[in-house]
Amino acid sequence: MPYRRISRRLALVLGIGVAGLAVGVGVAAVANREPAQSRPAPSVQRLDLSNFPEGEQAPAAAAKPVAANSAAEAVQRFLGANAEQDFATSFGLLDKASREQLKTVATWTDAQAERPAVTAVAVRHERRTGPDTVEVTVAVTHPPAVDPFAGLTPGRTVERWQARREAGRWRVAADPVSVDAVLPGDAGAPAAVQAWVDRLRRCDTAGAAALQATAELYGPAKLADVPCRERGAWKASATRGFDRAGDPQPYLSAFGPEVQTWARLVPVQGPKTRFTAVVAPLGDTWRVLGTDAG
Amino acid sequence: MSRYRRLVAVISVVATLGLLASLTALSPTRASSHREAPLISEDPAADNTDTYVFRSPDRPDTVTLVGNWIPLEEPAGGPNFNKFGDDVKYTLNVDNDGDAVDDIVYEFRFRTSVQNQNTFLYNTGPITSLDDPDFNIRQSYSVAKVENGRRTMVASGLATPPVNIGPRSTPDYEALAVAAVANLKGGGKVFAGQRDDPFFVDLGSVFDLLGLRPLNQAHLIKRPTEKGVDGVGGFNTHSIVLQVPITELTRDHQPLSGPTDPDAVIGVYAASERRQVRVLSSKGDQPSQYGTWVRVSRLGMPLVNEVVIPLGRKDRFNASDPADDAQFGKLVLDPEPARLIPVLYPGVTVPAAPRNDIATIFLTGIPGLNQPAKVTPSEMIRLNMGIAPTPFAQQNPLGLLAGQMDGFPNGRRLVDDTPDIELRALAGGTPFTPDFNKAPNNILTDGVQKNDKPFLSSFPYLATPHQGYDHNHHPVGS
Repeated sequence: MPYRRISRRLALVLGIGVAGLAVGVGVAAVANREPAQSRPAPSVQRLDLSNFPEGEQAPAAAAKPVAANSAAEAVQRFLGANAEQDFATSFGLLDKASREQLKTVATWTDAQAERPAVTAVAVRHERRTGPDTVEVTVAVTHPPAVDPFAGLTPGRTVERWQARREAGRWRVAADPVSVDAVLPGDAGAPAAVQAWVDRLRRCDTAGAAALQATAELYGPAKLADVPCRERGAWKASATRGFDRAGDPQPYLSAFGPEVQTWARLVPVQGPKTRFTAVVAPLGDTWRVLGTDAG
Repeated sequence: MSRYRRLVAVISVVATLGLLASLTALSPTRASSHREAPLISEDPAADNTDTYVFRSPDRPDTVTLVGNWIPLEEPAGGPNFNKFGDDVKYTLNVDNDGDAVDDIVYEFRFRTSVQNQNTFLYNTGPITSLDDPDFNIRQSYSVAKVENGRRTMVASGLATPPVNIGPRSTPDYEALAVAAVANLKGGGKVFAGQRDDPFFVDLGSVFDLLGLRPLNQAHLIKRPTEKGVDGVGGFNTHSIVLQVPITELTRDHQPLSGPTDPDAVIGVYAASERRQVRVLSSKGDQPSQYGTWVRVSRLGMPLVNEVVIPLGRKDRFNASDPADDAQFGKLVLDPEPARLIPVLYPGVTVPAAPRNDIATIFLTGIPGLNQPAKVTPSEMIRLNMGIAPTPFAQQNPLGLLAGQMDGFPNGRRLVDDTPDIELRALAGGTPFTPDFNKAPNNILTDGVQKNDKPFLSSFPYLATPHQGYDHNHHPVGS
């Protein structure tokens, strides 16, 4: 290709390129030019964030010193502070290992959502478990509830907490050694179900709902509608364990495997239909949680 | 290739870039966490795809929080259409003092009930109401609020609408969706159910070695220039939309005096939790689940886990707490996509690490705008609730870059084009880095500028879901 022809073509291409770029950048600049007040001014140029620690462990916050002269007093004050939602005080009563794990009052407070609220605490007894450790047994009351977030919140529990003497002060571990729910006796469940089914038989759904643990019943839909339609006698019989449920899945999904420890079954026999009521302990009484076809 | 041809090619690319710069700049552009980590990508019901938080344009005394789950949900996915997981706990989390610890958590749990087990049908006739006997597979849900260590039930037994099946099954879908909006005590509202996925991004191109179709000629591996393709177009998601008064979110529950009120800024993210142990049945029964709840997904700022956190740490990110985000800080200060831009787009230069500008946007909030007075760096969407919302019709997808102080990254509105904004931020094309705030860095785009369906101007704001019977997916080249 002759040199002059190449040069002309090169010049032409260069010209088109430069023109394209100029037009592009120019139009872009114009298009991007917002009204002066609308484009935010740079509010920061550089932040000193270059020293991120590689690890995830933040140092534990200094605890607010809280006096406790005995293991029992420490546990009582600890649970009492939680009852009053004074988590700064209960954090101050935590033992060193717990504070290091929980780090801050904020994370400690955050963790309380997974524990039942406390309304009252009574120390039952103490047992020395080591030179500086005492296990304190307490009776605790809670606002009873059943919901799909926390499962069962029993009205009463018996709990064992470990207290430890550290630097002359009694401190408490963040988690109890054990929690035993105090449930109403199984013998009371059939009467609760009978009252419920009697109201259903009278088509008094609002009245029946007042005897339920939750507004919405779990288990197969519509079984609770049957007593209103099926005229005749309906009778609740003896309580059974939840392990005999025909389809436990709706309850397991909603309340977790713990439901097997606190739910009970009460068979209900009508003139033609038979189903099972699933009951939950709400405080000291049994309430209907749902139905089961088994 | 001769020197002459190479020269011609280079000039052509430069000219094309210039022309594209003008095109992208002329049309204001309006990305996230779909299948962003190895483990959660195998668990769609718990996979949080996007989180949004904005002051409600039609009810400015309220803030709307949106969490989406189930990525790339096929509208025609019958007979077992997608639904929320009965075994998942969904949460919307709020930090109102900047310490990266949850102060308020809204929890959601779902429950499926099948009216008739003796049919394979989702519905046995047209569904005309939420209690229609033909509506066979239903989901209801409960809402709880956790604050100051206490959980209180907000509502239970709330109905979700069916999925949008088709003209025979869901002939008036909008009416069903409206019926599923529940009013809450105190002036709030809540909705949970299927919606159109509001996210828009050229997924197909972006994950093809960070391709941007409008800039295909500038890429290291060249392709013909094309318009952007909304990879999420035509797909649905499952949304939880919660609207609450601003006073419910402030630390002292008092009204704000304005944008400079010390309680004005909140940090928000969404998450999902599953029980620790799952045991499969050899009889085909539902799996049994045991143990405490553990976090399996979380998302505040879009695209952080998706493109900033490397493969080996993505699952850990999803399981971790924002308060522990310092462990990921160095990744944000030297983000991989920013290092890739100059490699894949030769000639484009980006600011050198450490990228304090990116850490500011993603981890702390911007001083004077949406950074809490005392902040622990963590991945959350930070919203200054004291800034008035832009009327819905005037919202610009470029958010703060377009001068709208209520737009991303101050909160995140549905219209905000987070892929383009973040792309530009990664390239340094923001006022934080003036030397790089120029073309092409500040005009980078995937070419997808708006959602495939228009958003609603009122609650629940997200568009009606695509119908299974009649929908299209992102036609290439359209």
